[in-house]
Amino acid sequence: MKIALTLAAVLLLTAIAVLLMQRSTTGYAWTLPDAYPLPPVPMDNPMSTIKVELGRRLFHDRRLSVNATQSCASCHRQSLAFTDGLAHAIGATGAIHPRGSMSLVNVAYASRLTWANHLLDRLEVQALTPLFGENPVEMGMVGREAELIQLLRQDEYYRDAVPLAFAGDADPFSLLNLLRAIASFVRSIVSFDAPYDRYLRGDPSAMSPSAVRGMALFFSERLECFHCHGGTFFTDSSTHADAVVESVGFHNNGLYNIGGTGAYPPDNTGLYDITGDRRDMGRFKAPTLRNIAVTAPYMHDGSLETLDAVIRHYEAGGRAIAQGPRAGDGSRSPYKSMFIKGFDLNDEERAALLDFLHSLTDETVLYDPRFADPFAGGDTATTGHADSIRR
Amino acid sequence: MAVPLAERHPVRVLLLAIALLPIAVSCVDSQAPVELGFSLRNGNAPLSCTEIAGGLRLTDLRLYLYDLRLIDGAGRPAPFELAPDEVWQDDRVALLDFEDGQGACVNGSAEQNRSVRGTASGGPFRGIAFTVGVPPDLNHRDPMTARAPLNYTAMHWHWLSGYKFMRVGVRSDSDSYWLHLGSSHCDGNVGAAIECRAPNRISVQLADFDPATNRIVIDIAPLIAAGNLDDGTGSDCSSGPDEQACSGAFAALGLPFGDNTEQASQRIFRSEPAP
Repeated sequence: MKIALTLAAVLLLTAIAVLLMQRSTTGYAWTLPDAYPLPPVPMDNPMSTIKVELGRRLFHDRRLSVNATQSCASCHRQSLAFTDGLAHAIGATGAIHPRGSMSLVNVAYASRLTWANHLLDRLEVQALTPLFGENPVEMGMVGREAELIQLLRQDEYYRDAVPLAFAGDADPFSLLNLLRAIASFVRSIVSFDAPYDRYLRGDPSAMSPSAVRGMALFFSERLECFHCHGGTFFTDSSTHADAVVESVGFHNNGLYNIGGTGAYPPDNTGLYDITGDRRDMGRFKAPTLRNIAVTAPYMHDGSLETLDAVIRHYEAGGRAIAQGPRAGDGSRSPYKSMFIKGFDLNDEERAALLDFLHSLTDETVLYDPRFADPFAGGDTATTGHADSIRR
Repeated sequence: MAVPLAERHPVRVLLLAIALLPIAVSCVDSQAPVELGFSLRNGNAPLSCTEIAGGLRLTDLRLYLYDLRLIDGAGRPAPFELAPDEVWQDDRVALLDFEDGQGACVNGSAEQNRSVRGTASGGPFRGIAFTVGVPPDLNHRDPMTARAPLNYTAMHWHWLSGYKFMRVGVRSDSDSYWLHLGSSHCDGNVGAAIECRAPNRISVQLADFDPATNRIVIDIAPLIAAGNLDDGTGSDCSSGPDEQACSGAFAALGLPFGDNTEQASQRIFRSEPAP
C-alpha cells in the first residue's frame, strides 16, 4: 500500500513536471500549417509571447544605434520581406557595406546565418555583429553595451517588459536578454502562406498554369535549381527542430572569375574570407527563394538587378565581365558549383519560371501587424546595414 | 567601480576565507605578490590618446595576455598566478588597456589597465614569458555568458567566432592605421570544437626582466612602419587571408602570414629598467 502510494505520488509529480516542461517549451503559439515542423529554438531561450513582443519593439528601436538613426528594421523592412532594396546596405554612420541585407522570413529555419559564415548558427550571436561590428560599422554600438543596458532600465516600456519576459533572472537587464528578445522576435517571423503553399495544400487555383509549368522547370534536372534552392525553404542551408542531419551549403555560382584565377573582388570573397581555403573562394549561401520577387537586387552584392537577369545568369552558367578590374568569365571559374552548367530556355519557359518565383511571395508576412513597427510614425528609415565581411 | 565582494556577501566571503585558510597558510611562505608593469611607446617616445609621438596619436591599444611565467636565474620557469579582480583579470587571462576614451580614442572608456597582478614563488627572476591572445579553449565560447575580462564587446570578434587578441590603432593628421589581431582560417562545429589554421597568438620571451626593477615596453613603431601611413592607400589589417596590409605587421609580431610561413621573433615587446 505504502509502496503504491509512493509510486503514485512519484508518477503524479513526474506528470506535473512533464506538463510544466511542455508548457515552458511550447509557451508560444506558432502559426504553422498542420504537420509542419517547428524551427529549432535554443534551450536557453524558449519562445514566449511577451519576449517576442519585447523583441519586436527592440527590433524597431533606433536607440539601438550609436546615433539613434537606425534600428534593425532600417535594413530589414517588413514590406520588402525584411530586406532593404539596396545592393549595398548603409550603416548608421554612413559606412557602405560590401553585401546586401538578407531576408529574415523563416530565418528561424536557417542552419547558417548571413551570406557566408559557417561559424554563425544562432540568431542571438548573429545579432551581435550588426550591433557591435566595426568593419564595417553597422549600428556602431561597440564598447557601448552599458548604454544599451541603461536604455532597458530607463525606458518606460522596457523597464516593465524586460523583468516580465525574463522572470526568474536575478538581473534581467542584460545584453544577453536584449539579444534573446530580438532573436525570439526574428524567429517568430514565419511564412507559409504563399500561393505555392496554398497550391501544395490542395488549392489548384492558387497558382497559374504558367507558374505550375515554371515549378516543373525549377525542379527539373535540366535546370538543376533545386540542388541548392531545394526543400521547403528553397535553400540547402536549412534545418528544423526534428532534423537529424544538419544541412549546410555554400556555393560558387560563377559571378566572378577575375583574371581567370577564380578570384572574387577582395572585399567579398565569400567563405574564403573566414576559412582562408582557396576552394572556398566565392562560396556563398543559397538564400531562401521565398518572397524573392520583393527582395531585389540579387546576389550577395546586388550585382543582378532583376529576377530576369538572375535566370539569364544561370542560363549562361556564369557571368562574363569583359573589362575593368573585375574582368573574367565566371562560367569558367575553377571553383564554380558543378550544378551550374547553363541551360537553354525559350521565352515562354523563362516567363513560366518567373511566374513560379512570384508564386513564392507570401503577401501576409509583408503586412502582418505582429511583425510591424510598434513605434508611431512607421518605417521612415531609408538607409540600411548588411551582413558583411571581417567585422 | 564594483561593490567589493565582501560587502555584498559578507558571510560567504567569511566562510570562504575560513575554508581557504589552510591553503593560504601553506602558501604564505612561497607565493609572493608580483606586479608586472607595462608601458607604451612609439620607438622611445611615450604615446597616448592625447600625447603626440612622431606626429601620431594613439586611437586604441588593448590586448589579452595568458600563460605568464617568470624565469629564474637558472632558467627555470615559475608559473605566475593571476589575481582575479572581476574587471581586468580572471585566473587565466589578463586584459591590458592603454586607451582612455580621450582625444583620438573614440568608442573607448576612461578605465585603463597598465599592469598585470598576481603571485609567483621563487626568484629572483631574470626573465619572463607570456602569450598574447585568448587560450584556444576559451576563444570560441559563447561571448554573452563570458565574464570579465572576456565580456567586453570591443574585444569580441563575433564574425570570426572568437576574440580580438589585440586591437591597436594610430592616427596622423591625415591618415590612420589599425590592426585587429585574432585567430582566423577557422573551421569546426559551432558551439563545439573550432580549430583555426592561423591561431595568431604571439609568443613572447624576454630576458633581463626582473619584475621588481623592470617593466615591459610595448613599442608599436614596427607596426606603424608596416602600416605605411600617409601613402594614400588603406592599409588596415584584420587578420584576413590575402590582406597585404597584414604582412608587415605580422612579421613584426613574429607571426606567419600567407606565403611567409616562418615563425620569427616578435619585435614589439622589450624589457627596460623601471624609472
